[in-house]
Amino acid sequence: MLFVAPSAIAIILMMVYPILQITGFSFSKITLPFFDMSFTGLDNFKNIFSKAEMGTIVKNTLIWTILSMVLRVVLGFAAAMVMESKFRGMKILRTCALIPWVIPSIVASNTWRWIYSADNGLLNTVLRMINPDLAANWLGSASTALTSVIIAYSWAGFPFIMLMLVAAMQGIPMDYKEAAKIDGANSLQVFRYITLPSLKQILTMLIVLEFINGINSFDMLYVMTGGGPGIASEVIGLTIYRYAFKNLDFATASTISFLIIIVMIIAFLFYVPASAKGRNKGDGAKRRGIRWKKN
Amino acid sequence: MKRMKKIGALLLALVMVLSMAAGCGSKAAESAEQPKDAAGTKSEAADDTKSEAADNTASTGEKTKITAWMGSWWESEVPRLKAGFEEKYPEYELTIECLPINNYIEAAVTSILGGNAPDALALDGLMVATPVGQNLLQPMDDFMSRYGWEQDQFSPGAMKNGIMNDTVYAVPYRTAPNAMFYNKTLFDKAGLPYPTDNMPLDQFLETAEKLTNASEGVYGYGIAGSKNDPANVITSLGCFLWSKGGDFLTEDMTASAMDTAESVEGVKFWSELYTKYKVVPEGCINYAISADLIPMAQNGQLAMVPIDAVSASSMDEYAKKNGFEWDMCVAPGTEDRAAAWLWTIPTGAKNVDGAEKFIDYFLQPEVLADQDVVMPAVIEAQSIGVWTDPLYEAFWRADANAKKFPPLTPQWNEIQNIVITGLQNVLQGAATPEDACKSMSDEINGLLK
Amino acid sequence: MEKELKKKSSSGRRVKHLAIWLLAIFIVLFSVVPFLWAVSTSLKDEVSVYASQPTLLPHPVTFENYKAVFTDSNMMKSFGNTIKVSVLSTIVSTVVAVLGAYGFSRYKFPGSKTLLTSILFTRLLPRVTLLVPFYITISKLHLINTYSGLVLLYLVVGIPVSIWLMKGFIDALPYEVEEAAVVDGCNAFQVLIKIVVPMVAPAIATVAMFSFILSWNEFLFPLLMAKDSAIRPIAVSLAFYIDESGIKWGTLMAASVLMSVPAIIFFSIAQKYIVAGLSEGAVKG
Repeated sequence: MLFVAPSAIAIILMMVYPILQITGFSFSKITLPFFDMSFTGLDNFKNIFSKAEMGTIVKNTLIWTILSMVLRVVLGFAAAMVMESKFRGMKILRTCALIPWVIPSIVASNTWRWIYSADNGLLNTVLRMINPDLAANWLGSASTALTSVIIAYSWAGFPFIMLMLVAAMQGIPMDYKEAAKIDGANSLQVFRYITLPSLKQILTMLIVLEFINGINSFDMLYVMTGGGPGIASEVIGLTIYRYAFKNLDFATASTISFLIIIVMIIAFLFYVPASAKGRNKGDGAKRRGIRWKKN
Repeated sequence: MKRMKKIGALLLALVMVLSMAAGCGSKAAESAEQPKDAAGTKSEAADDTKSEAADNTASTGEKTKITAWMGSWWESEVPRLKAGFEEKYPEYELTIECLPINNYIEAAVTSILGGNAPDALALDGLMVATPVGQNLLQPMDDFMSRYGWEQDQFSPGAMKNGIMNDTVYAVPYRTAPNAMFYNKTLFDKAGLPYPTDNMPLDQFLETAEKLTNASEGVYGYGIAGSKNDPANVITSLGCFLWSKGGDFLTEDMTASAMDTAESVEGVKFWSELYTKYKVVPEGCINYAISADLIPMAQNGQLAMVPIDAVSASSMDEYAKKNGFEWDMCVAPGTEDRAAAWLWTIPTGAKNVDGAEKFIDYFLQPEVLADQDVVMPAVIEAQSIGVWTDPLYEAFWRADANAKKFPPLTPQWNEIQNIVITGLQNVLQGAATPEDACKSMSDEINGLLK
Repeated sequence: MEKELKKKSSSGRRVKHLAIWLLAIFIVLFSVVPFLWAVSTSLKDEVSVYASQPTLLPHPVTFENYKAVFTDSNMMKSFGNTIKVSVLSTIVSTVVAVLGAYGFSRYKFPGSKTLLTSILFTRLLPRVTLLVPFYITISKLHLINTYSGLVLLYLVVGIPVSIWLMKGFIDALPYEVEEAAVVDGCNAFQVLIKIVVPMVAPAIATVAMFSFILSWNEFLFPLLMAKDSAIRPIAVSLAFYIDESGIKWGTLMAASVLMSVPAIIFFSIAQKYIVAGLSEGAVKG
């Protein structure tokens, strides 16, 4: 218990207020500046569902969350695999691959916006040299805006996945691999039957974390497209932001947040029993086996 | 083994201290790693959220603290303002906090709602209406009469940015009109006469067409459609929308005016610069004037573009390097947007009296004019020092011409978002100006109901 | 027969090596080009930064931007503040995360699962809806404009991820070693520090990097809660190079390049622990 206390206290201290507030605001009309609440039942929810734009925003959010999660994990995994091989020069590679993560997001998003710029951007300048037809209005056309930002967002995030996976790969005992190789397994088989299964747990965790990260994050979209053109790249995080701080409508912002949490809890309830079943079998036995003298 | 125990206990203690400090609060202030001057602001922060009553009774020896917030570009002026104010009012201790424009309004709103409002808060004209609608700003009529300020002492367009329902909520200190930059060299090359103030729109379009040479990356004009910088889009569209006789809302601000024939005409003219005549850069839909169009003009890629005073003051450098001559005139059409930065006093300001004294001090012509950061909105200050420089001549003409501004309604931010979304749909060819204006209007009317 | 096999495997290896190299080059380019662009921009003079034909090589090369950053006293102070606050919050966050993860992994108490899940779920709350409540909490604790306030904030923001990741690594450890230690008379803390911590060193290094980067780059919370220039971190100071009349690209890039140097140094130190695991890997099993 003592071990858990600091984290639990910190989280409870900082999170209880916001959670109560979000829940309360979702069913109320708010009067500023003192957040006076008057109960209005489901009005806020009705109001949100009556908005025509919501369909597109939800769709964009799903694309944004899933695609950026996949890209980050794939890139991170590839980088981790490469880094694991003991070639000369991999140290340099590792440092290079960490750079995107080090750049502050305010600089990263402005730099990418500039790179994508239709007229004088680096990307279009290079593409025009190859073939003028390749140049495009990356952030300014509905078909490319969201994807372009997803690439930038994945750029900024994949080093973290890479690091986690490398750390996890270090944990795979060498003798497993050696043994498998002696048994005549090729490297693909070693990967499939040794590496991948041992990474399963951390990989699942990373996927869940990235998914959760993606849902609310909007910094890069805000700087690069602001949700445009039209609402082609508007995601839910941006919408919440707009309601809370542009319109000072904290009730609507809270209601959307509340809905996200509910949806995620439902999804989680379905997901956890399914994945926990397989994992806990072995764990349980071990857990029962250990007994501390104190505590 | 004992040592291990100790380390363990120490680590735990460290963590517990932190969480405990958070738990009971008051003792946390003494923890070692805190900076000295933070202690001062803390006691203020502790005041109850609702204790609005200003503590004006500055007992002898103890100075009353007041805080003012401004944009980051004022940082170099802070020592002068602080020294000057404290000399005039020795009973006060002034802190000016400069904040970056990124998330400026979020910082302000959070502070006000968190019970830690600054005493005086500088806001852009477009940031005023929504907070007023949510009771976050105090009326300033009393300030005006108490300190003998009349509305006609300020640039008229700038002043109007601070008045809602006949009440003054914000007092302008900066007027921010845009002049129109033009690249003389490009005009000479095309054999065209230089533009003049308030150029008729059809002539403007014709000129822009002749100046455009897309294959060389040169365009006649630049419009801004970026959702990230809505104020720039309103500036960009405004001059054409208003000149065609259109507007965002009806005069009584109860209904949308975006579907009137005049407004459609304005949106059409503006968007066709891109969709039909292609006299503006390809990326315009995602551009802001300051971040994208001005740099293009600096490269000699734009023949005409709206320009602010700060960018104008550094244009010569670029002109010399890129080999062009330039000048400025008043925007095309008959109308233009009046932009301003204004002083406000937030709800919950702890020292209204001190805030008023500071704002009054700040607006004194000789104080306000003694900087070259922003154009003063107080008329008397406009003929002092650097502001008589010929560079600003076109800006003062533009200032007189700029009389229109977006409606000061609490819903403005939402309306603005609807309008820009609609405009982007027109620019990307997803809707005709007529259809877009119709659906903008429907949405706006739904909002105002 | 044997020869053939060898030949086959060596050509197979060559293909594999080539593939790895190509992938490596792709990843390096993808990671580095935007950064090189930043470096090159930081070496350009103001008038040639935003040229119509962007060039990767600055011409002429100027160090004016770096000089401007170094002579900006606010900027230099922010550098110091950021290092202080990041190191402090990295230590605190990592310690709390290791403790928490170990506790959640090895003990079951009523509600532990719910608590663990809800810790993860706090990540779901959008930042914008957290701003005002966080501000009010921190302000009630009298921690506005203090390092402690920032450390607490970063702790809360980062801890869900850190705990979940740490727990994943600790879960994967075999219990037998710990049990042996218990038999030897170690108490829980001793087991944690003597046995568990060395075994998950790579994971601890990674979680420390995560905490470090979080406090290094965070913008919005310190903007609100550490406005005072005495403790203002660098991510906020960087925003001072962006104002309404545009972006001062040269100085912004120079400052961000400088800013990434300490982070990279910190990473190379932390990396050693990750890589150290490589040689010890065999012992672990």
